[in-house]
Amino acid sequence: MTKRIKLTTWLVVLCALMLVLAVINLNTGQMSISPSQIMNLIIGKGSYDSQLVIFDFRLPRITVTLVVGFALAIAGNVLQSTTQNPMADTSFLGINSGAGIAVMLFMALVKNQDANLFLLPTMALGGALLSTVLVFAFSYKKDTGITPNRLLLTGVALAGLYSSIMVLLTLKLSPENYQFVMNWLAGSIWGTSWEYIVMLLPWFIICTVFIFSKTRTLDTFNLGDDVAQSLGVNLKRERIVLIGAAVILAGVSVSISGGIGFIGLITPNLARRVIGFKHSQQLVLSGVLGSFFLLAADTVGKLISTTSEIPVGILVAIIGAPYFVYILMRTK
Amino acid sequence: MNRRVKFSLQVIVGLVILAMLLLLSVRYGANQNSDATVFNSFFHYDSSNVDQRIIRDIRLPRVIGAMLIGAALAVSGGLMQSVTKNPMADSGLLGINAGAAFMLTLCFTFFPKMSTLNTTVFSVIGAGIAASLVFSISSMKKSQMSPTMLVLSGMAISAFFTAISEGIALVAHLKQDLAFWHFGGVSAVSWAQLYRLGPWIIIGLIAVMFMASNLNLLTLSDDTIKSLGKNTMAIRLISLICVVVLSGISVSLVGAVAFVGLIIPHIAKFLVGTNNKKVIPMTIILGADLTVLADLIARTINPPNETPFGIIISLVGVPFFIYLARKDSSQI
Repeated sequence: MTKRIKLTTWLVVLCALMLVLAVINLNTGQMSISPSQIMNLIIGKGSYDSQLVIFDFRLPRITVTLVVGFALAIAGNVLQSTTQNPMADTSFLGINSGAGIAVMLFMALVKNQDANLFLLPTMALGGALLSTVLVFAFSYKKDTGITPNRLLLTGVALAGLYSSIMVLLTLKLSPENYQFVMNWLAGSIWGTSWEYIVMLLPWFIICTVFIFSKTRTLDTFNLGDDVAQSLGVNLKRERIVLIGAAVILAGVSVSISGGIGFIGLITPNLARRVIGFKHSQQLVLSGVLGSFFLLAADTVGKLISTTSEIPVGILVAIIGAPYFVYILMRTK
Repeated sequence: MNRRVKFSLQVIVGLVILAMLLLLSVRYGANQNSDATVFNSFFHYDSSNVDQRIIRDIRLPRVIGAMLIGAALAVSGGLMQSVTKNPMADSGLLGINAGAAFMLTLCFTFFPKMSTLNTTVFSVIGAGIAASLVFSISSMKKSQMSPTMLVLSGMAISAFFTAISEGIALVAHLKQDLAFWHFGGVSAVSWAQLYRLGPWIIIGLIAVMFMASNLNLLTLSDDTIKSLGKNTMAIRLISLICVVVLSGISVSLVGAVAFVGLIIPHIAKFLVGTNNKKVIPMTIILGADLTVLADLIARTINPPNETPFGIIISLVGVPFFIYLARKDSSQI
């Protein structure tokens, strides 16, 4: 019971903070719009310019940030629980770099880019899924199947290969496309229109609902393979299915947000420290923490420089990497 | 006696291969030369002949540069594998190259006119920062760190430095050339650089050779070393300094090339056993062989364009890494 109160308190505080951040985020940018103007907009009065900027640019961007943060966090959480490794993250499975290659191919090969804009997230998703399949295939061994550590190491190795292929492609890009790709790789939220959100929402909802319906199964992973097996849970199959859902979530997120790492790594660890190992609580908290972190990083990035925005991925990595090392030191 | 003969034979074969590769490298490239031109440029040098000048002033320094860098990266990888007792160690994978690249990005952004010698000093400092981070993380943990954990912490450190470098590059609008440089090419190595930096690499390599018998100690378990009354702290510290100098200089010359330090020491151990007195010379020769060959391929695969030679090495290195990850599942 106390845990439930604790969770509620955390969620309320986080949501309040996010509201503040959202207001700041809405205000900052090339055109600054004060909170009173936003109030005017909400009740239907306001200039056309500010209406356009808020409803067509900044609001979709905040929505994408929140959704992507949530999705990446629970994807990372599922990966950590199923592999029983607090160091796992979807970005270690080659998802970011796989999607990155697809984006580069799009920029290098597709001529009429504006007409084919929906092709871009689709290709990114395809690249992410394909690279994950490769990582799984290379880490499969006949006698032991897929062990979590081998999976991570293979992902690290393939990510190295992908990034060298990307450099090859880089040299073929025009300077403008190069800027876009560099921003993409560094993790800048670019898919900021309602059309993208509508297109990607079904994936998010299906995968999220599926993962939340499996919280009990996720709990059994904590008991270790042997105990779970004796409880009648087919761990191998559940693991593959759950990782599959996590990969789709992360792939979809990355396809509209660019290569953001570390969110899925740090938030589940934080959530576990706060609320413990029960997944029905842990998943909610890490998801909301994910939204919060990404929104904070985006807001800070906008505040630092309004003309050349610093991609969120960079800020997340600067905070995330040291925290990661901290977790590493604590893990036995 | 038999073993010694075998070892001498292996060294001779390695050196002969190196000599042949050097000749081929001098001869082939965007500009093909005849044997006579090559011969003449060495023995009857005529400075008015363009072909001969290309050989002397462009090809020769880059080939010698490739050779030195290959040896330096391979040896520093081998050293790190001994010090961390970790078969997956490599200056690229552990974030040391990223640390050096980070400092170089700072130099390029804030002091674009800095001399090569000074940028090298900064690059070595960057390598030092990253190396001390990795080593303090792995030694502060009370229990032995598993190879997977070390690679993952290297990933995090690498991601951290890369994120900051990317952020700076984006805000400062650094050019596309930097991407090429990030993945390495020896095309820009000049005599002037070699005169200044070559001696340091050679001193580093000789220092490591003298340490060989001490490095053998590190293969023993910590308890055994203690009971022998030896203190390995000094050996570790000197090794660390050698790693930093060798990889820092290499990165400043050719960019962040990974995997040389991973592959070569393993091949050397496979050929000559585990005694470092034999392993280190072999590592030096094989490292030089690999980079000279990779550079030759990089120049001739798509003339007159150059492929970054780091890519050629990743193409060999990634499968090798995956092989290591699959081979010893009990350990990893």
